[in-house]
This record gives sequence, structure tokens and C-alpha cells, in this order.
Amino acid sequence: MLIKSIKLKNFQCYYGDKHEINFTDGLNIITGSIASGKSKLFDAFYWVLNDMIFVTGKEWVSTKGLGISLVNDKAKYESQSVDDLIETSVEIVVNTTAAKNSKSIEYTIRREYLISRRSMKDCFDSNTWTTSTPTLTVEYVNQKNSNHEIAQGQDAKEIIENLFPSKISPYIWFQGEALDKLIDFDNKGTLRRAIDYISYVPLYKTMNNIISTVDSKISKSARKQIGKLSGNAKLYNELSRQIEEKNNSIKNNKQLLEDKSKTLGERTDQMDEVEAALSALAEFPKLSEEKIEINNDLININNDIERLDIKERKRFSSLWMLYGTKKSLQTAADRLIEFEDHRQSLISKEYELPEDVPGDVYINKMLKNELCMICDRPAEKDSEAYHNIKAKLNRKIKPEYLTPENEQINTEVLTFKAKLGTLSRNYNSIKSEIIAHKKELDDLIEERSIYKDKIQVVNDDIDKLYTKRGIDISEGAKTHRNKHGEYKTLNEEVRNLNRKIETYKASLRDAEMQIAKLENEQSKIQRVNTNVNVVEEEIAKYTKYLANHISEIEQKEYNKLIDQIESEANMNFEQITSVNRTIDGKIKIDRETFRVLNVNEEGRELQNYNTGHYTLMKMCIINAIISLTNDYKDESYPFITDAPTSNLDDKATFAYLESISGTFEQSIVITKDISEDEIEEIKQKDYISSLFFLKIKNDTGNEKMNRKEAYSTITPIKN
Amino acid sequence: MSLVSELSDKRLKYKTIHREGILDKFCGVQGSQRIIDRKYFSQLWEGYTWAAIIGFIYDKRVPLGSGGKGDAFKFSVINNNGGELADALILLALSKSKKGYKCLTEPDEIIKVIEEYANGGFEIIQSKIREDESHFNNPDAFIEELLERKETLT
Amino acid sequence: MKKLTINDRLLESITRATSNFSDTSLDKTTLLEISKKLVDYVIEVDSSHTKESGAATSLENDLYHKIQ
Repeated sequence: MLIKSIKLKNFQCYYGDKHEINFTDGLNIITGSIASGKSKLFDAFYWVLNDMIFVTGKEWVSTKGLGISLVNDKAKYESQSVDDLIETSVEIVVNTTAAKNSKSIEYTIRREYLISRRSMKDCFDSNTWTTSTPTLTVEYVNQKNSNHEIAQGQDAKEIIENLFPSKISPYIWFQGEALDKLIDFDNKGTLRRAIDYISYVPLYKTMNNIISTVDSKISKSARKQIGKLSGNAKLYNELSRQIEEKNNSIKNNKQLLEDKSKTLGERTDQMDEVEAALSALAEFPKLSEEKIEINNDLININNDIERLDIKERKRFSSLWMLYGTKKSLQTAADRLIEFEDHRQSLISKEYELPEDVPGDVYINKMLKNELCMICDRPAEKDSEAYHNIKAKLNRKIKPEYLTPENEQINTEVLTFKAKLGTLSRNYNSIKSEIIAHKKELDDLIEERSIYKDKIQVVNDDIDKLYTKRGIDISEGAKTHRNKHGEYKTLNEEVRNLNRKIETYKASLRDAEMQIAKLENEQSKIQRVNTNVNVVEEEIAKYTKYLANHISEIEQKEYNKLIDQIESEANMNFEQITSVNRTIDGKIKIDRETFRVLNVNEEGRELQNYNTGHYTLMKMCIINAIISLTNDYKDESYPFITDAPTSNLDDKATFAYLESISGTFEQSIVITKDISEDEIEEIKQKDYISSLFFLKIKNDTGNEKMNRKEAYSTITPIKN
Repeated sequence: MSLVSELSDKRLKYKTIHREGILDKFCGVQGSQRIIDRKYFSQLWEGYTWAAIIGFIYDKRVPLGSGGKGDAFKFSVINNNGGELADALILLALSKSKKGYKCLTEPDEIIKVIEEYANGGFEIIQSKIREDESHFNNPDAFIEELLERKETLT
Repeated sequence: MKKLTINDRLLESITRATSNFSDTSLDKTTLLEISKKLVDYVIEVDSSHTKESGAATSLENDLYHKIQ
């Protein structure tokens, strides 16, 4: 999408109707000194689209609230007679980029405000004028019939909402001063809404619904068909009916769970708001601190539980899973001993004749004499002793117990005997380890439950605080009473919602378990004709598989998107801060609270950031959000901003501008941070496509300008 | 070469249905470490060893057979990551092998015994899951199963 | 840089979540085709050309044609 032009007539400091800016793609800079009409130009954009402008100190004010202050002073001054009409208008022309098979459409959006003079009294007094409601028109050419269409009122509003969706428009353009209010990163809802907008969450919900519906139907069909082939159709069909029932109950519970969770989120946000309002009360900070402390303790407990969990799995997979193998290990030990005994017997056998048996000559002599000359016993021919001696003849082979095979087995047996020893020692400690672990875990879980109750107690105490102190505050006592009432109600609601949610979750778990049981029973029933293929059964495999995976996609992709925003914001942040040594660290989005933090390499929050720092972080996130919106939504939004860099120094300002020019197809930056003498230099920069200069003039030649004479002018420097 | 080093290069086979039905259910994959996603075991070999031990304890030995598809992983994975468990598996195989202590020089025999008891273990686990699909969804179930084993079993 | 369409992104999120269907023995080509159809229907519902119930019915019919 490109903004082609803006035209102003009698809008605030812009007198008459010769004020037009034609924008190009790329970076358009509008600059000028203080009070030259820059903010008013931004107001013009905002006003034409939203019927409001930002007033310092008052925030967003509608036309109705602004009245004649919206209208140019010089025009009011020059009006000569009663019934004089002054038209104030702003018109912008926007081109949407062409979609696949259609052309781009050009929209002319115009808002007009008329005032007419009632009397000749003070022209700057609102009573002197009658005001009307501004009218809004949007002109375009209808794609289907090529007619020139003019939309008004609600239709026009809808077109504008389509062009600049309200969820994303706070990011497309923002005013530097309004940055804090407009994008309150301390309110998690803000960032989350933007992310919801960019993400495909609604599409994933649709995807999930469709595949679940199909899976449900096919499974039901499959059961019906299989029922017909079943050996016990009556039982099978009864089980099917029960499964259907459970499925319906799951569907209902899921819906209820979703609704209640959403409401819980809303109520919790509201409670946060009310708590913030309570901060005026003296005792409140104490309770608030207590709540923070308990939450921190809770985090620690959860960390401990996590730690124990990790330890458990580690021990399980290195030792505990062996529990129960004692007998088998004993058998293994027996086998090792078996070998040792066998080897020993071989060794003994060898030692019937001493190791230092003499050579063959001597042996032959023993044989001849039929006498063992070593142990002095007879060795009659063909006796066992005789054969033993004979066996020693030409003995080149190793003794049997020293065969390679036996040697190898021996080595292994020794190795494993040692291992078995260690193993047995460790084995004996398994049971006591497990029991100690379980106790520790149970204790922590109980502690956690206690702390959760503590939070409820603190909330109750906050509630009581009102009862006690609410009446003491004389001014605004009514407000406090109201806030108290709100808090009480919210507190009660949150308590009930939590209870309900637990109930639904338990019901879901229960129903799912029961379905598993029922399906199991079904699968046990024999089929009469196993040759018949039920096609639904085959299809169900596919639908079930997809349904299971797709149910998790939404959360996965959502997390991925946040990762992307964070990493893209950090890319910009690094680029810009590399020129500014005082800012460092990285941007991190807290996944729980959606708060934006400045962290160091290890992820620890850095403490010393100032306004400029924080502004820069916000702007990088905003850039990331829009850039990803452009990516994800097949649409490219222009980026329009007023005074984004007022908190940054020069170097950072220009680094920021250059980075913007690279990120967006079109950006319009209104800034005071370029002085008249810098213009020539700036003009040369090739990342700037257009440059406009605003100045206050008067035609009287007077040095000192007053509201009756002064007006703003726009001069294109580069275009 | 020692038994352990000869075993290191060999692979332990298992059936694909057990991969899908059990190992994927209980063993994590590289990189998926959100706490909510976490499976009880972080690696495949842990689930396999667990099944094998169950097979040994309940003395269920089921040959792999020739049909059906299969997968395999190297024994060295258990040896490198499981510390004593690799030794324990060898000792358990020793206790059941019909070849007695001779199997200590026959790595193929050790592998075969472990594979078949693991296969049996898978079947035992599978039947528990069939009885109650959510049986092992609660992480406490793993320790509970441990404590149920009696020391007097084979 | 080629820009991905919404269809491409949705399909990619499915293949990413299933690791390219690597954790099943079901036919991968069929799974991919079914996923493509599902994504198309999602877009149709989103642009209000169809309602969810209609899309579900269409997908059901597609499945019967694809899988015998």
C-alpha cells in the first residue's frame, strides 16, 4: 500500500487550500523547526482516518471536543460576515498494491468539517460559530463493475478499517509524544493484540475446526461400518454410542474451557488495572510487594520442581531402571563363577604334571621306565599317568586353560566381575534414592500448593483493605468505593473461573480416558468377515494423524512468531546501537507477561536504561511488527511517524532513519531533528527518497507573528 | 578386541511398530525441549534399554522374526551415554543366554539376546498401553512401574 | 526475494509440525495432498467464500476420492 498524497485545507495552522504533498515510495522526510506545523501534519493524517487528534495533556480528542480549534485561525480572522462558511478538510489518496489477479485500487479519503458564523463577535470564540458533524467520504473504482463509487458514513468507515486495521494501525503510525500511551509495553494486552493480528491464529483455529470435524465424522462412519461386520454388533454399536456421547461432551467442555480461559485472561488484566489504581493507598504497596514476593517464591519452587524432575529422569536413565534385576544379576554372577570354576579345574588338570617338566628326552626315559620320576609314582603303560606323561611329549601347544578362546573369556569374566561388583553396590542404593526423591518432590508440590493459596489470601487482603481504609479517604471516596466493588467482584469471579476451569480440565481428562477404554473394548470384538476393507477405517488413520498434529500448530506457530519479532527487532536494534556506544544489550520479549526487556548476553535484565533507550527498543519492536505484518499478510503497510527520534542523539537518529528506509516500502517521517543548514547534506543521502520542509510564514512582513497572520508552508526539497 | 568394543559397532534392531507405538511416545527428539512437550526419556536408547530391562525382568523373550519393517541403532550409543546400563545389559544377556559364559566372546549372541528380550519388553509395555492408553501419560507412572517389580521375579 | 503466500505458509506450518510426516508410516504423498486441500479450504473460509461446515464436507468428499 502506498500513500500517494495528502491535501489540507484550513486545517489548524494550514491556511487556505494550497497545501499538498505528493509522496514517493521509500523514505519521505518532512522536517521543519519547532512550531512549523509538523505535528499538525501528523494530526491531519490521523484526523482524516479517525476523526481524532492527539492533544498533549488530554490524549485523543474527537472533532466534537476540538470544535473550532481545528479550523485555521487566519481563515476565521478573515471572515467578514455572518453566515460565512469555512471549510476545513483533509484528503489523502491511497493506492493498495495489486493482488494476484486484480489491479491496484486507488482510494480517495476525505473528511470535511464545516463551521458557519453566527455573529460578528470575537472570531476566536467558539460561541461565534455553529459547528457541524464532520463528513467522511471514500471514493474508489469498483473492481467488479468499474463504477466510480462513493462510500459514506458507516460504509466509508468499513473501508478505512479494511485498509488500516485498528489492531495494527497503532503500529503503522505513531506520534513520538504519544508513544508511551499509544503503545504501552507494560500492558501485555497491547503487544499480544498486535501479535494476534499478525499471526494466523484465526486461520489455525479454522484449520483445526475443519480437520477435527472431518475426523469426527469419518471415525463415526468407520465405527458404523465396522459395527456391521462385527461378530457382536449389538455390543459394538452400544460402545460406539457411548464413544459418541463422550466425544460430544469433550467438544462441549473444550468450548467451555476456551471461553472461560479467555474470560479469565480478561478479568486478570482488569484486576491488574484496578490494582494499579489502588497504588495510592498507603498499605497497598506493602501488599503488592508481598504478592510479588510470593510470586517469586513460587517461581523458585517451580524451578526446584523442575530441577528435581530433570534429576529424576537422569537417575532413571543411568541407574534406577535396573531395579528388579537383582536375581538376574545374581544369575550372571553365577555364570561368571561357573567359568572360573571350569578354568580352575583346567588349571588343576595341568598341574598334575609340574610346569617345569623336562624336555622330550627325559620324558621318553620316564615312558620307557614306566615311572614318573618327579613324583616318584609308577606309570604303567596305558595307565592314566602314562598317558599324561606321553601327552607332554612334543608339547608345543599351550595348556588348555590358556587357549585363545579361554584367555579371552577369562579377560571378559574378570572385567565383568569388577563391573558387577560396582553395579551391585550401586544397585543397593536405588530404592532408598527413589523414596528420598519422591518425598522431596511431594514436599515441594505441597509447598507450591500452599503458595498458590497464599496468593489468594493476599488478594483477599487487598479486598479487605478497602473495607478498612476506603472510607478514610475523603476525596474520591466514591471512586475508591467503586474500585473496591470492582475488585471484589473481579476477585470472586477469578476464583470461580479457576475452579470451573479445573473442573472442565478434569472432565476432559476423564472423558479421554474413558474413550480409550471404550475403543479398547471395541477392538477386542472379533469381526465376522476380516476380508472386507472398511475404507473409512483407512481414511480415519489420516484424519486422526493430521488432527492430532494440527491441534498443536497454533501454539507452536504463535511462539515462532514471537521469536521472529524478537530476532528481527534485535537485528534493527544492533544496527542502530552499533553507532551509539551507550546503549547495549538485546531486546527480549517475556513470553509470560509480554513485557519488553533489555537483557545482556545471558538473558539477565539490564537495569540502567533511560527513556531514549526504551524508546529505541519500542521502535525496533514496532518496526519488526510492521515488517512481519507485511510479510505474513501479503500486504505492505506504510510507516508514518511523528518525532520518533526526539529522545535519540543525532547519530542514532540517522541510523534509525536509514534502517527504516531499508525496512519499509514506504515510510513517512516527520521530524524536527534536521535543521535548515543540514538540509543540503541530507538531501544527498540516497536512502532518502523525498524531503519536504515546513516553515511558518506571514504575508505582512512583520517580524513577530501572531495567530491571525501566521500560517505554515510546505516546500518540497527533493521529490 | 574386548567384548565392549566389538559390541560398539553392532546394531540393536527393533520393529517399526514399537518405534511408533512406544519409542516415539516416550522418547524426545533433538531440539524439542519446551517443558510441556517433554517426553519422559530424552533419547531413544533410554526407552529401548528400559524396554529391554522389563523384558528381562518378566522373562519375556520374543524373537524378532523376518517379516515386518525394522530400525536399528548402535550399541555404542548406550555405552557412551548410559554408563553402567550398557554393562548391565551385557550381564543380563549373560544370565539368560543358552550359551552360558561362552557368550562373552560372541557379541552377536549378546546382541540377539538383548534384542529378543527388548522385543518382549516392548510387547509387555504395549499391552499395558492397550489396556489403558493414558497409563504412561503421567510421569509418575514410570517410577510406579519400577516399584511394582518384585525382587523375587526371575 | 520471493514472497511466500499465505497458503504456502500454512502448508509449511503443517510440514514443520510433522517433520515432513516423518513420524508415521502413512503415505506421505497422500498426507501432503490432503494438507494442501485443507489449506485451500481454510483460505476459502477465511475469505468468506465458504462456511466451515461446507469446507468440512468438501474435504470429506475429497478424502473418499483419494483414499481407497
